[in-house]
Amino acid sequence: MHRFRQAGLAVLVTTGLALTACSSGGASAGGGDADSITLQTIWTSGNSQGTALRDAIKEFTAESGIKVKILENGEDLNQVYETSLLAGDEADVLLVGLLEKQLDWAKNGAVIPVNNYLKDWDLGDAIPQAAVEAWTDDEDNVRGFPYTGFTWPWWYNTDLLKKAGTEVPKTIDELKATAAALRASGVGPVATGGNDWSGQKIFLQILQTYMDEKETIQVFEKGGLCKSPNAMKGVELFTELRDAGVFVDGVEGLTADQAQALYMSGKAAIGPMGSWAYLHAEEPVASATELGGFPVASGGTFTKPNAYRGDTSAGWWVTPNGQKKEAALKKLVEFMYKPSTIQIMADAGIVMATSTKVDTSHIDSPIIAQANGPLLDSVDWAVMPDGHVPGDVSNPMYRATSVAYTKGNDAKAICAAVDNVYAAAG
Amino acid sequence: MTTTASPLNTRAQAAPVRASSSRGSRGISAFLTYLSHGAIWLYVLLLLVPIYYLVISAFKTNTAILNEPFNPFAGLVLDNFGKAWEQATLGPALLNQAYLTVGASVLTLLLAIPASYALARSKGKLGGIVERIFQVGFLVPAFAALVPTVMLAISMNLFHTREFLILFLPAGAMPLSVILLTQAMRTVPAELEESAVLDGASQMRVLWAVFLPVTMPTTITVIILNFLGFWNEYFFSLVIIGPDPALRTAQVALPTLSMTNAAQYGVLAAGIVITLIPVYIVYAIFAEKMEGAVLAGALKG
Repeated sequence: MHRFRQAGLAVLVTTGLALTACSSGGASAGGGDADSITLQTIWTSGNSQGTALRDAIKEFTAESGIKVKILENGEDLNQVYETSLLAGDEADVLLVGLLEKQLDWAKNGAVIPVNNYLKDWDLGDAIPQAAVEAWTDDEDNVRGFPYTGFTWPWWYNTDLLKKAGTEVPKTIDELKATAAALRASGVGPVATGGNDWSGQKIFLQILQTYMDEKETIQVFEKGGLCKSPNAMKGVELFTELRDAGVFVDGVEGLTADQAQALYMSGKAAIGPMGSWAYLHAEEPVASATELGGFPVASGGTFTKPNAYRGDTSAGWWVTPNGQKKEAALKKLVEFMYKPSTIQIMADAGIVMATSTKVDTSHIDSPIIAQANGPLLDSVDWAVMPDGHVPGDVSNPMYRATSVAYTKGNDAKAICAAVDNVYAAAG
Repeated sequence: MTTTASPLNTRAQAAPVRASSSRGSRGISAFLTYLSHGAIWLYVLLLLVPIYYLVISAFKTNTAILNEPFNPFAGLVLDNFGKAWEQATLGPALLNQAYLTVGASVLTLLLAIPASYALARSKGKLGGIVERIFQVGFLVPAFAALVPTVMLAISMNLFHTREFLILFLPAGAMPLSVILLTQAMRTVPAELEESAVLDGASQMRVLWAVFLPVTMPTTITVIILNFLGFWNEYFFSLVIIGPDPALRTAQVALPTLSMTNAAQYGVLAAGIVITLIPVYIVYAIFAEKMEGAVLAGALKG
């Protein structure tokens, strides 16, 4: 049933985008009224980001007189947006991340590149150049205004490590020894969602152990793991860790939520988790947690443990309807980049992609304190796959990387499974 | 001297054998009864497990749901229902869902009852062909109609409206509704119709006063089946009605309660429980009549 749905949507969206490209614009839904803006986002009322957004929007309306209608979506935002685009009834502005289908939106005309807006609108120095580059596609379109980012460290529960007679591992050999010690003390080692996006990212993090940044990006963009000796060394390292019992039992079937629950409940001592989990950590796990990275491999590229970070969690995207309300949109975007508004976001524990200084000292969370301080100096930053792995490869790759977490599959089988996904996507 | 076995003697000899055989068959029968009861209870338990899991999850934290899924006492919280109601604005969403469901159900009945009446009374080839066309409707998967449906909604200027789905959903429900009602109406005795016609009843009067009352149990079955289908409809509601809080249905609102990086399974479970309540009420009201329809069908068979 799900496949039918996906196929139906794929046809619909392809048709829609083709028609959109051919037409000169349809009716406007957000459109018409210059004193109102329709914002579509995955920052729902159920999370802290959504609450912060609503607080900021209230202030914006009070200040500008412009009303903002917020449309909430789940993970299906891109599909719903593309369908409404077909009807010319899309929202004026989107607040959503840069991944999967969104990677090609500027190229295929689903959104308006913001290159000129970046120059003309008064955003000060809020957006760092690195973030702009992360949001720029291979045709030099800046897809949207970078807004929030993330860090994605490895979490180590020092209480559990101490009980097992070990400490935070800094090298691969130490990681294997730590995993054995943890297992002997009845605690799971590394918990990750081997069956979904989180496990895919950790696989790709280990994959790049012996590649430099350029080669990593090339492999992420084009595949060809089997032909790249350095990538194969990464895959072999992965299988070596897997077979040494570094991951918790049944990791190939876990989702990100299940893996997070294992760590948060003390059933696993190590968990790679992103900044979205910072505010979910409760005592005593929060105080016992030391944030770090994936340990250093002998002969590898990284000299320090490595973790992910990125500037692509969410950004402001201008839609064809939004282009017709440029003046109102300018006010909204400029407001969202004001230091006081960015502080509202930071207060909600959101990691910003902006360079504006924020005060997080009053946030009572030992995890956030580490994330904003010691973590930044203690790790190297790995290449985040989202901006490089093509949209039509990313999702199908989850199944291929699930193969990697399953014992009995050797490096050749794994690289072939991943390369097949790239080949299928053409 | 020859002895002849009298019937009395034979019966007397056979009696212990029969008693023994009877005790044996009673034992087997009792065993089978226990076995079938056990199987039924097992089946009931299997049906109850997901409901139990859903209900207890509505009162638990995320970590407890994931780590101790069947423990009803782990990680108890009471505010999931309030959060679900508020965060997904379930009040308007349920009203939208009800509007859509009732509208589509009424329209389906308005179309299916006269169509079935005509097909049931038809004796020509054309009626048979039309009935076959309705049966072919089963072969068209709803998702196959997605692209033309969206195009149609746009061309009718009904995209992002609930009214389009009220018009569209009956199309998918018509085949089953018409086939069930046609079969039921064929069982109405011709004498009843003839006497009504002799009394001067019009076609509409015959349908209303003769056919509908006799086929009411089947009609109720159709109402319940359509209600369940329309109430639980998600995909077309998501794509065509969209996420506007003023228009979206409860099924579209629910997924916003649990996102990839901010899962709230307890709140989501509470939201699902809330949306199940109307379904349960409708089923409770009509269940007896539906069982009557099933029973009536069995007796006629």
